[in-house]
Amino acid sequence: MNRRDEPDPTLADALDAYRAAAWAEVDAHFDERALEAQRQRILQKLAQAGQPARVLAFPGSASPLRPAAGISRRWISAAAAAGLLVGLVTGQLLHVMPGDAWVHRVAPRAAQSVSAGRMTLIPAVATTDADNALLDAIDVAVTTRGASDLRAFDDMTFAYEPR
Amino acid sequence: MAGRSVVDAGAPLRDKVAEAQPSPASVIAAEIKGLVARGERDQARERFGALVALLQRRALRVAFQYLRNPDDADEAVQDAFVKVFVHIEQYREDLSFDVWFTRILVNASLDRLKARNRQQRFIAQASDDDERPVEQVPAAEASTERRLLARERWEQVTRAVANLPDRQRLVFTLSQVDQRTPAEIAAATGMSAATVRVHLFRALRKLRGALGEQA
Repeated sequence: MNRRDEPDPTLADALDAYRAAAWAEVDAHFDERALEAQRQRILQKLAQAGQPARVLAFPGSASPLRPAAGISRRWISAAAAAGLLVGLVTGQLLHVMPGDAWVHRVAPRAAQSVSAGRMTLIPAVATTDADNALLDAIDVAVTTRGASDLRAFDDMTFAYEPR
Repeated sequence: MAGRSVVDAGAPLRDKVAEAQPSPASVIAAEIKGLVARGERDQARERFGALVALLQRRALRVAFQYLRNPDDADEAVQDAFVKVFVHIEQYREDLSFDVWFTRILVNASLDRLKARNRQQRFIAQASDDDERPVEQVPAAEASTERRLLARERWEQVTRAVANLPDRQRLVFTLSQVDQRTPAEIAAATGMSAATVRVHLFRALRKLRGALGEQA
């Protein structure tokens, strides 16, 4: 500092006080333990800086994944092949026999088995004219009187729906 | 302050602060550079611990003056030391390590300050330190009057320093808190020695004015 920069005594005193207080403030924040901790953190960062990136295992299991045993793998392969074959054959059969023929052959058989077993099962696949008539009747009922009765509930429910 | 780099990191060290007698830090730094060059990184890291121990208190004093927050000052100092080690091979033994380190430290502090401002966190103003206990003002055997006077001066100077423009504050901090010479400050900041002297002169003139007004 040259003479031009040289502070006057009052300012010099103030600057001395400022410097001393500034140092004391930092020293109050960082005691010897804090300095040692900071040193350790710096050295840890430096140690990590030189290491290659770590690749995390996924999924995060403790033991690495092992390949399946030879016998199990063979069984899985055989089952998959058999399933594929069955699917192909079934698909071909459905293609060869038209849908109606399939239904008419299956439905009576289902009805027979139901009556033989004294069970009241409705064949799921077969739809007769009587069934169609029943479904039409239900449809008409829903779209006329029943629908008008339900509409009030619908409106009210809509009104209470959360925004 | 934020958003404007006070220190030109790319500027050459214009005023060569060649050391007639290398400082202890410069000696250790040269040693570490040699170890790294020979691939002995573990020994280099070990030796670097000694360098950190030598400089960290001074570094914290400078960083804290900028950041006014112990956590940020801690982070800035850590960043500075890590950068020093990573780039130790660029260190020139014919120049002062202290000055090189000061430049890195100031830039690390500014980076931290910018990051903090980006996060829109409040920067503690110097006036927040009004609660500073009088005991922290080092005047161990001074009378109560002297201690009160020291505290009053501390507050006046702190307020005045906080109001200085960025470059003047930087130069003032390095000059008064870190006790660097204008040539060292010039080397550390990339300013010319003449510019440093002008900033320092203006800073002291403002402080003198502020103290005169409040006297």
